[in-house]
Amino acid sequence: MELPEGCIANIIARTTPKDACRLCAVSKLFKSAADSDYVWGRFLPSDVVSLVSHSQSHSSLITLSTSNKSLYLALSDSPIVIDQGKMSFQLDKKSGKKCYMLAARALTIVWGDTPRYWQWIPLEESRFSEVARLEHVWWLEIRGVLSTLVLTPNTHYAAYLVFSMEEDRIGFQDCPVELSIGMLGGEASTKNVILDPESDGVRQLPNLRGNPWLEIEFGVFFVSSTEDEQVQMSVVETEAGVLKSGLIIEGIEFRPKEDN
Amino acid sequence: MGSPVKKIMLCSSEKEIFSVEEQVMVQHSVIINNMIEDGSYNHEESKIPLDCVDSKTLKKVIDYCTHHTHHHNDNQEDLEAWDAQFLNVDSNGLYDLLMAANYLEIRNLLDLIYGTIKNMIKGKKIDEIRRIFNIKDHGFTPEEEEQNRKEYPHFY
Repeated sequence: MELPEGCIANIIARTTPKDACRLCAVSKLFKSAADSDYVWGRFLPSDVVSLVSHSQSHSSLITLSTSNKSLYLALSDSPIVIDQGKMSFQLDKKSGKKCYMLAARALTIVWGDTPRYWQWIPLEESRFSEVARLEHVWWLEIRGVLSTLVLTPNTHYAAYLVFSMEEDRIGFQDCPVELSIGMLGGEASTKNVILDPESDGVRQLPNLRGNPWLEIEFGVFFVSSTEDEQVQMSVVETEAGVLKSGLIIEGIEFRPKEDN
Repeated sequence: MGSPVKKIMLCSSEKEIFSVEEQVMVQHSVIINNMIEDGSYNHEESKIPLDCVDSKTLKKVIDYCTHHTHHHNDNQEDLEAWDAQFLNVDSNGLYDLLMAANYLEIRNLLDLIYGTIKNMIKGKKIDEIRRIFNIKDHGFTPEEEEQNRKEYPHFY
């Protein structure tokens, strides 16, 4: 069957961005349909224009993106910072679903405004203009909350603490930290983890992201289509009486769980 | 007694005339809806010529529109089962239906067919997809084709 390009575009628009890239190899006509603004406009979130226009880098993004496909690729290759620097937005490359990171500045960090305990510093490797560096505390408590309305509906998401450890850190190697996640008003799921990547304990350890960042999963939650729910995360260690220092918090990231 | 059901005439590429309830086609086909609304169809004498739709396909299209008009309150499962049975045709039949639905702008039938074709090509290799669409000439130069095959061997 030799289909008109418009029909091919409609079929490809029902697949995934990954499929669309693959289907380019079928024929010239498929390539033209698979690269079209129509197809990639369907893969981009419907509110992408308002998201991009609220970012600090929007002018360069819009001038550099000559097509919906290049805008999609730009937004999936690297995050844009939105919400006055308190959040970043990115597309999941394979699915086009939305990913966000709440910056450390958008989190509630107990003692965070006391420079003796926490410092706010710029870090070249961060997408945000400042990150939180732990000078020292006994009482570690960080909380974050996000409205699930900003996320892509009907999707399983995972939340990750994104952080780094300084060479001279102390207090994280043997001391488990409690991570918890849950919907406001619902039950939270909790686990104990070791944040120091060089620990050889039996507990879950963080994974490497791009240097210097590490991440560890809070847990998974489902975003339904209509309900505005508040997903809450916390990082707590207040009971061991151990002095902790050398932790750097970039933020909490939300991205779709691989297999959905 | 209500007024008699209004009918319209559709003419296939073989010049066979099909008389269909106007409401059935107006509800489903954007093109026919426009023709009725702008008055370009005259109920006394007009026939809508569908030169690119053969009788077999037109009959199926009318079946689809009729069923979905009279059964739109059925539960979703029954409708989906009916649709699946309806689209149980060979690839030529599917192609003819797609062309007819595209020409008449029958959006829910188009959605159904696009979804079906999407599932047919899901996870398939490029060579298989070319077979499914009967693509004899992909339009790439031998160099481009070789380059693609070298760069993405797992696609083929």
